[in-house]
Amino acid sequence: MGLSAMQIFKHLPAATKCPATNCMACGCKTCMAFAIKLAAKKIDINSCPHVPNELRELALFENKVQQHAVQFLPNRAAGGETVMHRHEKTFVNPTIIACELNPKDHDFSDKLARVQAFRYKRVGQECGVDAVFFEDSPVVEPQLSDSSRTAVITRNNAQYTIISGRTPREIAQKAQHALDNGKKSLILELDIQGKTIPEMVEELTQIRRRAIIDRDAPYTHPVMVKLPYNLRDLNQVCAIASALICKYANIIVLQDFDEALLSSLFALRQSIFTNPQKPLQVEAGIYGFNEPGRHAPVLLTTNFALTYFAVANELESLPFGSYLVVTPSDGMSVLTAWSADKFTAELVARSIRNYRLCDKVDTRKIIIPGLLSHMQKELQDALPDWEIVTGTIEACRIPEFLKSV
Amino acid sequence: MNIDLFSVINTKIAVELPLYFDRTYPDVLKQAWGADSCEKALEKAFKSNADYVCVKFNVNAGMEETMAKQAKSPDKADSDLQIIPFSAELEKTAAFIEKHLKNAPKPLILRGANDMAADAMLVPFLAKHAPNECIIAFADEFTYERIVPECVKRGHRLVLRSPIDINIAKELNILAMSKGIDEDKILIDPDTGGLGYGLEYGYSIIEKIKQVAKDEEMLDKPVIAFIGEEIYKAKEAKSDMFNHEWGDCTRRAQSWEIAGATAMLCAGADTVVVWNPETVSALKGVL
Repeated sequence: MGLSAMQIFKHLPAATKCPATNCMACGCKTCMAFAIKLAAKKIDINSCPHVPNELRELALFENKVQQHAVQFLPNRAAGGETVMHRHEKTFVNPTIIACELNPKDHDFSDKLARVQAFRYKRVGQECGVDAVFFEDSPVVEPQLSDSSRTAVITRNNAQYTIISGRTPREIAQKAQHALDNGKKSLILELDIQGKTIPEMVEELTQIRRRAIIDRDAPYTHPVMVKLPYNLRDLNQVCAIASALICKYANIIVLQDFDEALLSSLFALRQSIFTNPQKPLQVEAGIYGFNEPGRHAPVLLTTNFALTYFAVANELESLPFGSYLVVTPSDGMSVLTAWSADKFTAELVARSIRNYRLCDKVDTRKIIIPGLLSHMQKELQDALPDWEIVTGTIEACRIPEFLKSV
Repeated sequence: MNIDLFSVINTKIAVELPLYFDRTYPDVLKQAWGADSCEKALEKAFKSNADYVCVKFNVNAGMEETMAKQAKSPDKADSDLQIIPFSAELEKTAAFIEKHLKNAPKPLILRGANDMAADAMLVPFLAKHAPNECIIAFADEFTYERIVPECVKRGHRLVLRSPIDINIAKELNILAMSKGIDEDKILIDPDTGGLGYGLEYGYSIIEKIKQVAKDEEMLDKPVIAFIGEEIYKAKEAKSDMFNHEWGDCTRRAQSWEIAGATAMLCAGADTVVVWNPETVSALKGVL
């Protein structure tokens, strides 16, 4: 963070047209040069005798951290957020999803093994439990099968201090006290026992605002929420954990390990933490499903990851093989790509030629997305050796459609 | 007031049933309802703690059925007695409303088939035949002119759908009001993708609408999200063909909708329309 050179320059003599314009007292030739150096933090703000208080306060504020991050694994940290909403700027660190384990449980090692073995890929992202949480540090450090993928979070440890409270106010008071006592790395834990979703969201939003907008020091640390032990209904756990992913927990500690629950939370987390400016893409090319033969049907779509994934999901589930041609369309969905000229007859023809589709199959039929039915003739003209067939608008209709062609 | 908060009082859960439990309607949901038809499930929906019951008149499914029957008996198909599928569906729709919805014990949402061709006729028809003061869904920039007058006559509230675009949402509200609908009878449906399939676009549009609504009266309307329909387009929410890492299918059919619906509420949606009765119970327990 910090101020930009232009934000600084606005307050300097050269911009406010006061007599000290470019006075060189700071050692720089111009006020602009000073502004650039200050923005890059290469000069002390006090070397300029004309800096107004306003700028001094602004600089002080801008240099404050919005939210500190706590690093758990080389590639996994909690916190470090800079905005309130995902449409302003991509969120930084996806919510850490942890499972609480108790080393005293008779099936502890089984559970630990199960949590760690749980991994799968979706839309190119690996999904798994990020961390195990221990209320009492185990006497013997648990053997993690892969400590680069699963972090250990414990209540008492040297790396960070967990500050717990019932309300944002209580947490902030305790956090301030810890900071006064020289603690550096804090995790703020909000107790949600007995609270409704609107209540907890309100409190977590308050904490996040005090951090991101106000940069109020005791609030500027990652927030952890533990699901209550007595919450036995997995569907309620799902609702609460989902709300916590959206608004605004950095670490969620679950008491339950349930694959169906986790699969939905991972999907939601991926949605909330994707870059809103840049769609997820897959590589353009030809994808085969279920060992396609020379008579396998051929479908075509763009390289927007969600479109690809929806279609691929259907093709994978078919009892026969198939091909999917994916066009290089800058990760745009079908209609967007078409209106932005990223899905043209010429591009499709070129892709089909480059990928040498004709060497792979004996069929000469290509099924295009139903949303592009209006391009059928145009594509037919561009690909005279192929028959262009309009397919379904929705991917879930593909299986029945393929039965009919 | 804090703009990031959603109001407990306004948050409503609607549960949706299709008129036809056709083959596209997931088996896990038939099991969840413990019913194989809309009529039977409807009784349970009325007894649930949902705030609204929504019926989706998926007349396409009925038309397909009729056409399949006609194709099987070719002699009848040639005769003058051949049924014209769409008008037959309108008759069935009117009869269904009369029999099952006229004295409904809960507020109703009546919605079209979400099919452009069918809805152009079907949605105005629903607005005309629905009991007074329902919510009718949906009108868009192509259909609002025909739908608004019917809604005004019967005191319905109207859902206006815009394609994930805040400017079109605003414009559509202005256009609908110019046709006579009261501003407090409008609900905004910004459209959304399902969980794992573009939910984030709907999420961000709802957040933006709620941010802007403070200063922009034309967007200061309740937001409704038909999230159930989107959730169950995804295989993840209904197929038992996934590896064991994905967990039990019945459980997934619950968790995926609960996660998606909760996200919509967190973004600021005032009403979520869900398909699984378990979602209603779960959300009612924590809101």
